Amino acid sequence: MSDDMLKRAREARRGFIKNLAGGVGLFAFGGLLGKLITRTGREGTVWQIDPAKCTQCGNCSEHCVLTPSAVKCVHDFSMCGYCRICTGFLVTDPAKLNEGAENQLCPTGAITRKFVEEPYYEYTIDENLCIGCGRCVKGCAAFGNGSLYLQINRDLCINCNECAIEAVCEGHAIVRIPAEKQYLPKKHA
Amino acid sequence: MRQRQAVRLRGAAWAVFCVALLMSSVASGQQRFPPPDFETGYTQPALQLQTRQTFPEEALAAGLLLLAMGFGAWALLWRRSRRMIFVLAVACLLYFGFYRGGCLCPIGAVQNVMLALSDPSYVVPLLALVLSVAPLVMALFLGRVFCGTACPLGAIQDIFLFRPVRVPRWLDEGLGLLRYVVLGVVVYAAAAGSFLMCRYDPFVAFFRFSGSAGMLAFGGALLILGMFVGRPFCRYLCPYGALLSLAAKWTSRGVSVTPDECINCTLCRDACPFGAIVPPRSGSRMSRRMRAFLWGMAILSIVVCSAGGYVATGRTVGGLILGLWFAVVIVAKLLSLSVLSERETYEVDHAKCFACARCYLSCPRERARLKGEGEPVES
Repeated sequence: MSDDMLKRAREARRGFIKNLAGGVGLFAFGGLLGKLITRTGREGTVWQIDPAKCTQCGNCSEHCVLTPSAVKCVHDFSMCGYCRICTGFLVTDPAKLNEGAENQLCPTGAITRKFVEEPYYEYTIDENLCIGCGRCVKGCAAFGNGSLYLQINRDLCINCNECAIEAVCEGHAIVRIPAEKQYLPKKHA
Repeated sequence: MRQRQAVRLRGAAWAVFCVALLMSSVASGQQRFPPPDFETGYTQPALQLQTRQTFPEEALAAGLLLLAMGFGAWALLWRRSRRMIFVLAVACLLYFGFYRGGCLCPIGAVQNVMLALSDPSYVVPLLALVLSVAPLVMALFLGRVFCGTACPLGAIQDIFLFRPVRVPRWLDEGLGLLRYVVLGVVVYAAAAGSFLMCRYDPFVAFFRFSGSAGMLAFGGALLILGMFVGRPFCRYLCPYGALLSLAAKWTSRGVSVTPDECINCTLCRDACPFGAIVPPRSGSRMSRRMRAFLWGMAILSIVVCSAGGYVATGRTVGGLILGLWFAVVIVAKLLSLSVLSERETYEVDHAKCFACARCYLSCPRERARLKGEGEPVES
């Protein structure tokens, strides 16, 4: 065979192998896509804290890629006891029973205490000040009704593929839920 | 003896039950203090959890990616315009990079797919599927269009490339093996649920405008290096690039420097900052000695790497497979450097080509086509 025919044969052979490999690859990827597409969430997933598993370890404020953290404390008023001495508001052994900064659990002063009627006080959280450290949650859960809990704020969270807090969460409380569901509230007793 | 054991077990079960009851009551909010009885008509505020309308942004991003790649393929292969590719790359850098914060990226998406394959309960985001499969399918036929047009990590390195320096071939080939090592490690970790790429992505800190000092330093160092060495992350560290290289080996309708026939003028070779244009050469066959050496290396690497992987990961099959992968990569690289295929003209190595279209204007045939003159070269 002449050089020219050999060259043409070689080109044809290479082209054939390439197309064949391309076809096989297409088939393989198509199969993978088909297998996994039935398991996609309709609108993706979001990260949320499961309040039943949270141990208030304090990692939320430290490990979020955002500063301040996208984790905020949430107050479920329907569970709150409206106590005058709130164990989520005051430290366990306050020097004086007043709203001094040294007596409050919250390091940023995000909890405001308001008198409602005797003997009830309302406690609200300013989300702009809250850093998600969980000290108030720990106090509330230990001695109170557990109406304060940590949750990931959907508007702040940038939905990383791997949540940096989830990697270190001590209670393995951070889960992905379908985006349609959006928030995991704390279950009432 | 058995009766005593049964009693002990029952006692233990009761203890566990009581503790669980106590713990569950705290976890779900036990009413230690009774619900307040308001007399002044005070109404409790509703739970302050905003629910916002979910805009299907993920579906939009997936759609925009496909659109960008399709447009990029057209601009690259039919229109042959470097300017369009550059504008598209910057637009994608702004959208996929700065607006979406560089997340999800295809490198990360491979981890999602791996986790979905190893964990049947895992719900994989639709965007992750599209992001991981679409660029690979395109690379199979049209080359690494994704790298040059839609990838924000590639684009940010590309715009920092000021004075390209040629990397010596031996260094380029050697460092290129790192991508496959990173790919193996990332896939291995992802199967266990740990997304290493997300933790160590060098450029996401720039896209988000926030990150640890380590991430910023790593990204900054790569960008400074990238001023002289074209796309260092893409060429030596990107695990998805490793997959794209494997797919792009079979590109049949990819970038061609010349619009018609190559006349071997040698002008294009230095136009590529990434060393993706390869010169003509005569083929070579393996000598007996080379064959023996390769067999020896193959057996040695398979044994050493598999055993090493098995032991280093605490005797797991996954570690064995990881080690085997490293061995396969080493042997394949040795083979590709030993069995040389004949080339008659200057060609584009699609496995290395980032589809940036910098080479077009260096070709005199292309310049002739743009001016509208010149007959097609007779072969």
